[in-house]
Amino acid sequence: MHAVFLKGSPPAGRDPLSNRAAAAVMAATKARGWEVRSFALAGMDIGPCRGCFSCWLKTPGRCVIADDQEAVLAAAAGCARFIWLTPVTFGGYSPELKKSLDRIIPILLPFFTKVRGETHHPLRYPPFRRRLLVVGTRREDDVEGEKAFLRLVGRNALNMGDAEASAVVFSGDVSLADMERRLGEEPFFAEAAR
Amino acid sequence: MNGRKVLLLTASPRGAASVSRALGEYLLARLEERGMAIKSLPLYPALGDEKRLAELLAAVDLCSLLVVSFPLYVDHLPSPLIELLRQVADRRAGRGAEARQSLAAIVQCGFPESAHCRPAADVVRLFAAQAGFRFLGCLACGMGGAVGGRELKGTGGVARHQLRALGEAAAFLADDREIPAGVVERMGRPMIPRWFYNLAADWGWKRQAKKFATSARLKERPYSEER
Repeated sequence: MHAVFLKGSPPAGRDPLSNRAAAAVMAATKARGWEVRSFALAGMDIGPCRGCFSCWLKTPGRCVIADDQEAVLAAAAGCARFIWLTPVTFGGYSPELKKSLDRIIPILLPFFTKVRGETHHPLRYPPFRRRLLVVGTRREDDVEGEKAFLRLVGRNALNMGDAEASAVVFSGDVSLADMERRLGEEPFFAEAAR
Repeated sequence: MNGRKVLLLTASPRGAASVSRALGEYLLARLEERGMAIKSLPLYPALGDEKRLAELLAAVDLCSLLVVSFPLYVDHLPSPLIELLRQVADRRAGRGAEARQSLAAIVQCGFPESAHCRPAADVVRLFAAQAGFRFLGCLACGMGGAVGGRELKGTGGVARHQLRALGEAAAFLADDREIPAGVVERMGRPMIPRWFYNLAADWGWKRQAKKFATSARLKERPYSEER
């Protein structure tokens, strides 16, 4: 099984909880023998999307900005398992994760299609149902923030070809062992490799 | 002048051609008519420019009403705006009670349904709560592509609901009152019939592809070998 792991933690050392969650994700994938392409986004040179739509029109499927996002796109294009990690930031994603997601649209087509009655973009790569796991971390309990986070993950899943998505939020002083156990309960990890 | 200051912060990479800028500037003009002192700053030129960023953060500190206007990026705010909001929240953490400041947002997307913008509205609302702003509401609309790079008044009635909603919202924002649900609903109304928008959008991509001689390549899969 191949998986792509986008680690949207802040720069090294600033968020021990997020780093612990990253270690738990890696342990969970390793325990299942998965091959993981992991990207520590904070240290990567990924500029902001220019909103030029060149990736749909001039160079279909490729972003015209030459930086580290190229490697993310190449790995993400056909991956069946997608894992995102982020500190829950105002009920959403960190800028570190988001700078990469903002430039993920080359894996979609410009045209419109209907998904569950709404308009979305179809996937550029062969139709398969991608699985998405979003792992959030936060220092304190925040019911409102967690609800918003879960809604956002659900919306992202629809926009990623109606991916099968789940989200886990770790808060407070959760140990690495507890994180690993919790992740292990996720259907994302439990199901046999396809 | 009523002594209140509004700062429009436009977070779009498209500069003058930005729909977010057009929507924000229209609201700003209506707020000026109601006696507010106005200031408009684009976020993207401040990226990587410490002096401009400091000016922007100082302007946020000084305004009575902050309006952020942005395009929807993957169901959410564009990354540079999240980064800025995080900096604003960090600067304000632990500050004592100061002059009351309020926040409103405008978000638009290229999908025909404004409902796509709901998670972004959540994020702005939660930012406001965390950073100590009073949240006055989020005006969201779809069909941003129907406005294109034009000023709202030049859209020949296409954006009539949005023009009216922004004008109505200005009356409430100028008085530091929350935008009523009816105005938010009006803002989210379709500019044109959905079927027509979808048809025009698909046709628009194909027409532009002709210009770039990529018509036959639009569905290319350059990373297929990576699978």
